[in-house]
Amino acid sequence: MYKSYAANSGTWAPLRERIRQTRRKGVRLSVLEDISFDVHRGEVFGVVGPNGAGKSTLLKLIAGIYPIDSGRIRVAGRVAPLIELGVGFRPELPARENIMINGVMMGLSRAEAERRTDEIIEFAELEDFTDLRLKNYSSGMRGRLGFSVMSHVDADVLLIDEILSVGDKAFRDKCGNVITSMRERGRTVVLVSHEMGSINRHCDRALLLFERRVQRIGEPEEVANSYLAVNTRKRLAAEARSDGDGEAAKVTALRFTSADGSEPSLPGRTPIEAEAEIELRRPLRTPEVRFTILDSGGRPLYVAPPRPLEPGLDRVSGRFRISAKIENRLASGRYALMCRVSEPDDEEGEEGLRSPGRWLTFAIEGPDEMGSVVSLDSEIDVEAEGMKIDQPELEVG
Amino acid sequence: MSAVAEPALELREVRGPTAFGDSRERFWELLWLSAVTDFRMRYIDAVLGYFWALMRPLLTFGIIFLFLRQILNFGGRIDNFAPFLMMNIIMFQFFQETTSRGMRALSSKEGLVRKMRFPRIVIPLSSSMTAAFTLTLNLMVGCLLLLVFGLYPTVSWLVIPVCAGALIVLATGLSLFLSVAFVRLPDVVQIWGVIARVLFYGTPILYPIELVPSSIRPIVMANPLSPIFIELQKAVTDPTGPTVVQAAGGVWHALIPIVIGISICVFSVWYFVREAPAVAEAL
Repeated sequence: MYKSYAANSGTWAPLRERIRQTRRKGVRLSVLEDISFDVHRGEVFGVVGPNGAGKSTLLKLIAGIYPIDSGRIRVAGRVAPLIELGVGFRPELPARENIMINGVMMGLSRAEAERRTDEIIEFAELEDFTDLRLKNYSSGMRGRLGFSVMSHVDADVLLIDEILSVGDKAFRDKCGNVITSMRERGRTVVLVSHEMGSINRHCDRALLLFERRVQRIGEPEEVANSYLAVNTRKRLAAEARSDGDGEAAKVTALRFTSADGSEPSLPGRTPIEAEAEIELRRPLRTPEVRFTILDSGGRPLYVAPPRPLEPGLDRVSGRFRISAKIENRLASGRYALMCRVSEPDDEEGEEGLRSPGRWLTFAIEGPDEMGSVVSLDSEIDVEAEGMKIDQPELEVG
Repeated sequence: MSAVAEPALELREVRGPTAFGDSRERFWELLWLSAVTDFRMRYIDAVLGYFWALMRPLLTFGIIFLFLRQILNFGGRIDNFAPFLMMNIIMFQFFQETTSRGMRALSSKEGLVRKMRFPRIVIPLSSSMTAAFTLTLNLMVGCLLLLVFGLYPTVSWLVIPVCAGALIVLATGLSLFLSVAFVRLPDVVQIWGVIARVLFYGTPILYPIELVPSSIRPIVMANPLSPIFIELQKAVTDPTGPTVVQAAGGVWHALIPIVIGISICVFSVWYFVREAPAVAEAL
C-alpha cells in the first residue's frame, strides 16, 4: 500500500501558482511506501515509530479517513477510530447530546446511542455532571467521555492514536483495562504510540514504521528494541557524521557478562560488565575502543575514556577480545550500550577511521525514579528557624 | 489471544472517505442529527438567538425601505412595495447566509473531517439544512407580517414554499461547490463576496422585473434566482405582475435560468463527490 500527500506551497503562494497547482497534480510527498501487514482477530497490534514516520496517517488510512494511492486495505467488521479524544464534541452542549452525536459519528444508530448513554456516562464517571455543558468540563473529563463513547460503540476494530499518554494515571489504567477486555472479547485493537511501555504492556505484536516503510514486525519487545536502535542510530549518525567503515574495522560481538536475552534487565547500582569482540581487517593507526551509554532517545549519557588496543603500537590489525566494567549509577529505565573502535583524530584534527557502533539495549530494574537518569545518593536535612503555623482566619463549612 | 468464537466477519476493502458514505441510513441519521443540533445550538440555547435571526432581515428591510421610499422616493407606484421588499429580503438573506456559511462549513469542521470517517457531504448539507429551518420560521413570521400589511392569504400563497424550496436547492448546490472550492483556494471568499453582491442587485429583489429595461432584461433573466423572486412577487404581493414566461419573453427564454440553476446544482454535486475523498488532506 502506498500513500502520498500533495506538497502545497503555503497559503501565501501567488494566486497564479496555486491555480496552476489545483489544475495540475502538483508535487506529491510520499508518506508511506510499500506497507504490508496483517492483524488478526483478537490481537492488540502496536504501531511505533518516530514523529513523522507516518503512524497517524496509517491509522487514518485504515479508518478510511484518507484515501490510499495504490494498494489495498481490507478490514472485517466495524472500525472505530480514536485519533483524538473528543473530536466532534460540541462544547455548548451537555454530555448526553454529545454522546448522541459522537456515537452516531462512530457508527451507532440513534436508538443504540440512546440506549447506551447511561452506561457511557457511568463508565466515564460523569454521573454528577450530565447537565453541565462540555465547555465547563476539564480536559480530563472530556477525554474520559470520548474514550467511554469509543469503548461502547461495539466496534470490531479499534484504532487508537496516542491517547494513552494523556490524562492521569487512573485514566490510563482504565484505558488499559478496556484494551484488555476488548482483546478478551475477540476485538482487534491497533494502538499507535511512541511510548514503548504501553506497547510492551498491551500489545501482542507490533510494527515499527521508519522512514515511510515497515522496518520490522514482531514481538513488541523486539520491535521496541529496533525502535530504540533506529532512533539511536538516527541521532548518533547526525552527531558522528559518518556511521563508520565496516570494511576496515568491526565490533563483531557485544554482550553483557551477567545477563542475556534480547533486552536484558540489569540490577541497579551494580557495575555493568560487558564483553566485546573486535576485528580489525586493515591496519589501523593506534586503534582504541570506546564504550558509550545512551538513553532511550539515543543521547549519550556517558562516554568512557578511549582505551588503546595496544598502547603505543601503530598499524595494528587482528582480533581482540575486550571486557569492560562500568560503574552503574543509572536510574531505572531503558538504555543502550554502544561499543566502537576508532583511530584517534590526527594532529591536524582530521577525523580518524571508525568502525560502526554495535548496540545492546538494556533495562535497569528498580522502582520509578521520577524521570531521573542517574541514581545518586542524597541527604536532605531540614532545620526549622522560627517556624509558624498559619491558622486560618476564616473558615467556611 | 483468546478470541471468542463468533461468526467470521467478511474482509471488506476500505475505500477511503466519500461524499455519501456507504450506508444510506447512517447518512440520513447523521444529517438530521447534526442539522437539528446546530439549529438548537444557534437559536434555542442562545438567549434571544432566534430573535436575531429574524431581526437581521427585518432590519435590513426597514433600512432599505426607508432609504428607497423616503429618500429616493422609489416604489410609490409599485403595488405593496413594503411587503414585496420584506419577503424578498428574507429570501435573499437566507441565500446569502447559506452560501457564505456553507463555504466555510468544511474548513470550520476541520477536526472532524480529518479525524473521523463519515459521509463528507453531511457537513455542508447540514449547514444549509439549519439555515432552511431558519428560513421556514422567518417566512412564517413574514406571512404574519403580510397580514399586518393588509394582505390576506390566498391559494396563491402556496407558491411561497415552492419558491423557498427552489431557493434552498440552489443555495445548497452552491454551498457544496463553494465548500470544496474554498478549501482548494481561500480566495473564493473574496470572489463569492463580489458575486453575491452582484446577484443582490441583479435579481428583482429591490425592484419588480417590469422596471428592468428590455436592453438588460435578458441578463437579469439568465440569473437563476430571478424566476424564484418573480413567482414570489406574483403569488403574494402583485397578482397582476408578469409570470416568468412573460418576463422572459417566451417559454424557451424562461428555461434559460432554470437550466442554468439545475446545471449549477448538478455540477456542484459532481464536483463535491469528486473532491470529497481528498478534502481531508487538503484542509
